[in-house]
Amino acid sequence: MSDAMPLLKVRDLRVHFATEGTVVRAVDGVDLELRAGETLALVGESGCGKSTLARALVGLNPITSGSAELNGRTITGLTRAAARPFRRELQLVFQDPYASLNPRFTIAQTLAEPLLLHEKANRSNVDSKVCELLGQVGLDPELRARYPHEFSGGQRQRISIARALAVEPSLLLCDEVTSALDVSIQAQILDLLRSVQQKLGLSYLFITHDLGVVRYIAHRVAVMYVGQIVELRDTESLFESPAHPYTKALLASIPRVSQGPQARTPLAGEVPSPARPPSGCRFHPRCSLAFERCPKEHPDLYPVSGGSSRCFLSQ
Amino acid sequence: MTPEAKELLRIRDLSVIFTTRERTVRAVDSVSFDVRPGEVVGLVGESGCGKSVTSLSILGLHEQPAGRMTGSIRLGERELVGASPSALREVRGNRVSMIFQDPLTSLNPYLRVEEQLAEVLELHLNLRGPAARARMLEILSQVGIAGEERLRAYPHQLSGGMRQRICIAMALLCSPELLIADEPTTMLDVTIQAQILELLRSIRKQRNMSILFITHDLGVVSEICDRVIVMYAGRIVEQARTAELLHSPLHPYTEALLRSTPRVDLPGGGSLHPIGGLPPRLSAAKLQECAFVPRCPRAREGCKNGEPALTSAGGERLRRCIVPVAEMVAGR
Repeated sequence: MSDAMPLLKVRDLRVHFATEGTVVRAVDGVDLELRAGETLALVGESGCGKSTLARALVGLNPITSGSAELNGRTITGLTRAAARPFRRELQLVFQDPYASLNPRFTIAQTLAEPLLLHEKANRSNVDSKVCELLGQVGLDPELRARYPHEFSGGQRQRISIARALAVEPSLLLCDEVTSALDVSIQAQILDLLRSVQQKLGLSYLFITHDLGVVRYIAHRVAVMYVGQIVELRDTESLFESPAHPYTKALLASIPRVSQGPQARTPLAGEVPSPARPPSGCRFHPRCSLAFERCPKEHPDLYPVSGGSSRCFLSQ
Repeated sequence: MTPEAKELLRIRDLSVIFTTRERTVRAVDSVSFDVRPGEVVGLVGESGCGKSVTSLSILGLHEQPAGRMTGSIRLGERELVGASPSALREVRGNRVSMIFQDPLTSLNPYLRVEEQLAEVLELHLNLRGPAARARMLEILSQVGIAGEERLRAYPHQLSGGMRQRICIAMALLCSPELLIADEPTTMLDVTIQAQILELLRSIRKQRNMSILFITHDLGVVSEICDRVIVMYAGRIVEQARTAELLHSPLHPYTEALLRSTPRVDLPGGGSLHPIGGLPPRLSAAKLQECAFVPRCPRAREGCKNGEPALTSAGGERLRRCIVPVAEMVAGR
């Protein structure tokens, strides 16, 4: 892939939840690597495991098996105390900035807390640090004495991003960060994330269901289906020549401004439950190209141009 | 769908003013448009632009204490502004139905699908017993649900797409002339969205039903709408046939919306041009300038001399702008 050591390396990661006699295999054997300064988009439909994976990486979901390394050091299976230094490196930004900001804290308090906790500032310089952070995300530092409800959705998302940046992380996990915003505001936030990345050399694991956003912001894309990565490609390779039948179906179902009504056959049926994944290839019951091998054997990720695809037809 | 066809819904000069303890807000300002039989009209704009308030006005469904409505909403021959509660009840469900963004909150979690459908049939059509059941199965098959087992399900046992199909079935039970769809696919995954759009298209064709389709997604508009109305700050800023609007927008706001949407069909997602600033804070006062001026890249001095009128740009095209985007965008 790359000569340099990846920033994040995930190996055969599994997150299983046991419920009433069944096991929900939310994340079921994920491998991925993320380089410094890179944006990897994680896409797929509701329930495919993309958020569970991100939450597992920051310790919000228990990991059943597998490992994750950050800069060559294992960050999974650690005690709380041992994990703390790594917490700083990985920061999560959520979809709903209102729910993730404390309504009783001013913006200055919200930003000062992580700065002081992780010793990125002390009592005497914390205020200037707060102003610096606000400037970095395009907000007027004069507004720092205000409360979250006094800001618009886009401004709140900027505050969430500032809070994540406060502790100088190397990786931001962005979980549907623009999904709750109007398009004009979404574009502002996407531009902000891009410029912050260029300035600070941050990596993003960018979770979204919006493939237009993916094409704009991501360097590479991992497509998930029922807990597994089915295609992992450079962004332009994926959009120009998707390899996996599921990726093709996903791309074909997006309404496009340029085309008008499409005479297409929508992908039939619904995503299977991760508690009862289909045998063999997990996509075979909905796949128009499935053949006798697909329900019997589980496909590996086979190399294709610009990445890999979990389909026997890519072999 | 011929332009001469008499309109089913005729809205004229509709304004809706909400009064709270702190302030008064004109959420919808002098909105006029028509929906003809069998036509799908898109109502597009960002949060707070007044698109949902406009659609709720048609059914008199504003939150209480209700926003004060002025102007006229005619459904066929019937005036709905100022209509009595019983007259409105006769319209709701029978002639006009509505589906919403979140099918889970529009279904009663304590009742089986069967019971929810039965209630509509009994209340509106006085159908009971085997006749009602036959009608339920018929309508479910029309929305692509194979019967009996789903009838006994509770909403939480169904997937999001399935729930929206149930809501559509419920809306169709009384064969309405107009379906108001308020962001019906926004919460669904794209593959399920494609299924629901296909379903709405086929229903509209079969029944020659009109749809007022409220959405913020211009891709969805291109899939289903014949005509589009763009709203900004409570007023209509542009109206056009779908292809015209998407390929050669006249209002700078429409253009800006298109240019700030990342494109899945262009390398690198196309180039994004965010609209700076925020939509204006609405008040009750009449505007002294174009509502889009503070954010408009094409604004000039003349834009501040009173609010521009909504004027014809040929045929059915309307625009509220004195410096409309030139036709040069056609190649994009």
